[in-house]
Amino acid sequence: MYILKRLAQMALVVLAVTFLAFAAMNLLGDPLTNILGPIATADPADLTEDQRADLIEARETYYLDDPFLVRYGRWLGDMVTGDFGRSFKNDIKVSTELANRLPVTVFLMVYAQIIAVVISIPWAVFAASRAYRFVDKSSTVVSFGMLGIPVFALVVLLFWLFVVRFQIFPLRFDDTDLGSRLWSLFIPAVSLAIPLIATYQRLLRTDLISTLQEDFIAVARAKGMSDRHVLFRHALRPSLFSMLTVFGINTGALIGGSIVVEQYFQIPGIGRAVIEAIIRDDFPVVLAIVVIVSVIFVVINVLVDILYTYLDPRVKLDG
Amino acid sequence: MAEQMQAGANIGAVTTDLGSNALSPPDESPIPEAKSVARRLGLGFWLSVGWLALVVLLALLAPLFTLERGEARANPDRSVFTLAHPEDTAVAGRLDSPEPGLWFGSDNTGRDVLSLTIWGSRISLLVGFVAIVIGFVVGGTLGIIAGYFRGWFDTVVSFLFTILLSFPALILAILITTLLGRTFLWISVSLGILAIAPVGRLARAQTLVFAERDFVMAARILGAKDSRIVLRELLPNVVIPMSALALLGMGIAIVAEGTLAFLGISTADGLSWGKQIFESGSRREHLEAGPHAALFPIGVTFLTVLALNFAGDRLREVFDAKELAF
Amino acid sequence: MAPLLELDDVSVTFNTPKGPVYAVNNVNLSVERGQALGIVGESGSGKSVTMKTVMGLLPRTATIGGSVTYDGLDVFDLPSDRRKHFYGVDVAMIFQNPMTSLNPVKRISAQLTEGMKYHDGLSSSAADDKALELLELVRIPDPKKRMKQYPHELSGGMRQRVVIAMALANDPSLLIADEPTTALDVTVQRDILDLLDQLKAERDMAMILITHDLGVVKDRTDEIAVMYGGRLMEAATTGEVFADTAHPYTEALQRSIPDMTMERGTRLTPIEGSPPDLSIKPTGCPFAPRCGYATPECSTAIPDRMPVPGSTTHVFACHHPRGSAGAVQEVNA
Repeated sequence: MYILKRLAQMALVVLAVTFLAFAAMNLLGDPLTNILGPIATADPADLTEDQRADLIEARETYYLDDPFLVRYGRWLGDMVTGDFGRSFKNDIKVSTELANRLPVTVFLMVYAQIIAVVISIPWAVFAASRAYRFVDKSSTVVSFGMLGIPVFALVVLLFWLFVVRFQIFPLRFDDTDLGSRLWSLFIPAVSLAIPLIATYQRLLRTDLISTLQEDFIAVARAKGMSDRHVLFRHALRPSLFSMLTVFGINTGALIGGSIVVEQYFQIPGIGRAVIEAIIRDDFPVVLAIVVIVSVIFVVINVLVDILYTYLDPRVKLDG
Repeated sequence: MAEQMQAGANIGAVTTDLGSNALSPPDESPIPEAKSVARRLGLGFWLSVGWLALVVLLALLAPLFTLERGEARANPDRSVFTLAHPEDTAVAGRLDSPEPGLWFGSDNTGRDVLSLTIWGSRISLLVGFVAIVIGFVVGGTLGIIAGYFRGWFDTVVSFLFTILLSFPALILAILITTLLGRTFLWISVSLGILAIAPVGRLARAQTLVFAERDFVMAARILGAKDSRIVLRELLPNVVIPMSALALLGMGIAIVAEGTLAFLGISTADGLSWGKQIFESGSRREHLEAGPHAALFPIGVTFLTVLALNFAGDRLREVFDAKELAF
Repeated sequence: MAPLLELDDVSVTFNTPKGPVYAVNNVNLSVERGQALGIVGESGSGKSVTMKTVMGLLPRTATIGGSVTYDGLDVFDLPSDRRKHFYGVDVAMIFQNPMTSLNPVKRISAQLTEGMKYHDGLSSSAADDKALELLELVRIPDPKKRMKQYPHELSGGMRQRVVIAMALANDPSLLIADEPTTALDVTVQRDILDLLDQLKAERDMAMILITHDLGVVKDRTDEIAVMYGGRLMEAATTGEVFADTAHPYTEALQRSIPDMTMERGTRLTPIEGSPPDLSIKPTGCPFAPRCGYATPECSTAIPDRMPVPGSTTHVFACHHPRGSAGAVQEVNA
């Protein structure tokens, strides 16, 4: 029941997000100009045969002769069936472009999340088990600093240190096999992971410290369980909830970060695709990517919400 | 009848409260109070504020000690306390190391890195400032009105906030700037739009809390106009605690503008920190020959964002503590 | 033979930002094998802190003085193999609030069996069998079903039974119960106490029962220690405490217990005033400000602990004792 309600809300949000994006293209400026650029307003006599064909196709693809709401409905119908239109600048179908590029981005983001979780959880547990002592206080300073470095500064810094100066990692993205892909994406993934590590560490540490004050922790210690067992088996899971909550929200920051990282390290992912499209004023491609990425973001947040209720047995699903 | 009497009793209680506040004993005069707040904020807070003041001051006064275009090259014996014009190339060699008069060294085209950083701060700071003002004015107004009047307006505004937050921030900024254009104004506006939902949500939540407090209730019962309650009672109580958010938000806006600039899709009206870092940090050869050209602006950006985060965090903690003390 | 557990001159000081808090001062206690000791005092009397000291549960801010020995071994300096399997195996503890004593995100079965697996190396199925037996032992209805449930699905009384079962998992020789019924409904309080009594007798287990209610320990313990302001006021066999009360504080506690034999209309007498501020080192008897018998001497000299003449088990710390100790003092004076 709860899940159904959540999914209904999600559908509403997705509808609103797509509507807003589509309305932006149609209402801010002339839609045909947004799609095609200057040829939309040029004198038809000056245009080549191809350009005139583009004009007709654009009017059809975006249903420009229909009233606005009908236009939106038909465009949305196309999107749902996987027809994201095509680029009028380089003749590529947007769906093909997405299919080629999305996997690399997803790989990079999952890679970064794994690095972040693997580092932040033991770090937070270690800090919380020594709360307010020197190691904890200094690690709080370090994680605060990690939050202050923008990703665009971080990529340059890490690139300079590990690729230029110490030449540990390769210069370019290398996709020959899984090993070289993991190796060449390590610095990009770490650049994405560092702010995540700091966020997770801070949240988890705070929650762990308050969980460690709970009676059931004293009970577990009175049972003679080892410190390790108490920290990881008793304190960790009830402390994971705030971290999980920001997991979804962080995906938004991660999407932004991966645009920077892909652009800087020349990784052929979706983020680079969107920047390339912006630079060549290819609005249909930008719109399609914006809509798809936003919908993915919304869906992830809802999934996290549902996962949340499964992880905490106290939250009832029908509540 | 009973209700009226109770309301009367409430008003009585509130007025005596106000009276006792107005006639607070001399040992609670505001001066020692202010002193203790200053101390509670801590050394780190004042170091952060000091750094921010320095950055803002240099940005404001930059025209006073910057030479005209071409002047630096023509004038090798200029004072070490003047800056070459930021667009002047070849005021030094390519990627020269820092030295007096060229404090941050030069970049790949021989421009003065310190001059670029200071002039870049003017754009970074101003975009951040304008964005946060837009966010506060629009988001704050919507949030307070929604929280005070509730009803359908609240439903609509809350849904709007949800939608705005449903876009990944950078994606939304890209969408808006692509459509509106990449001038200074539109970049600021689009970053301001990003700030509306988070600011508005907090303002709404704060309003909901304060609208239930005795002093607002009392004003309502006394028949004050809604506009008066919102302006006189709610606005100060909701906005002051949010000043912490303004600092944090400005940090976020500066990073967001830097990101757009780094990607080459921010304002074309000048060079901000993000673009400067990209220009000096995107080629391996440049980083190899002279990393300082990228590292100095990185350091300045980092310290500025850190200072905004830290000062904002401390303010929030101190304000929260005060909330609890009430 | 040495007592099972012995506390000798134990003091605990918490170092807080606002200065030290003297939570426990020079406390001596002992429990024999198979016997029950009741520790009685108001909240803040130091009774829980004393037991947390025994259990090694104090925060790092605590400074501990004196010694705690178990079966002749120094508890603070156990050999490493013994230390790993000491708490939970030799000594187990039950806490005040069953609503918060169980991990909310772990099933009952997991919480019951983890100690058995860790300390006794039982296999999962053997541990499950034993856990089921324990749940039957503590008389939980439908134990099979409970195993798979989470704490929030159980009532308070059932949870406390689970907590007791958990404490018994490794057959401890000493069970410390810190106000095990305070947080429960009046109707289940007696059941839980009776259950503890019965388990203690069946398993020949020593027990320390901490309570603020002298009535609770009256018929259930062999000895009683009364604490106030972090100090031991009086300690004796249960019979002596009630028959020949020496300390005015114990007397006051007795007056505040409702009794079935009381005549209708008899007033219970609450103790006026509030417990002492433990951040101030007392110069005299901590109970003096609330004591009806106090003289100026009481607030200037801390009374020594001394035996009641003619008894080897009865000690008290008071300048103006009641009962036979008081009578002897008056004769001497």
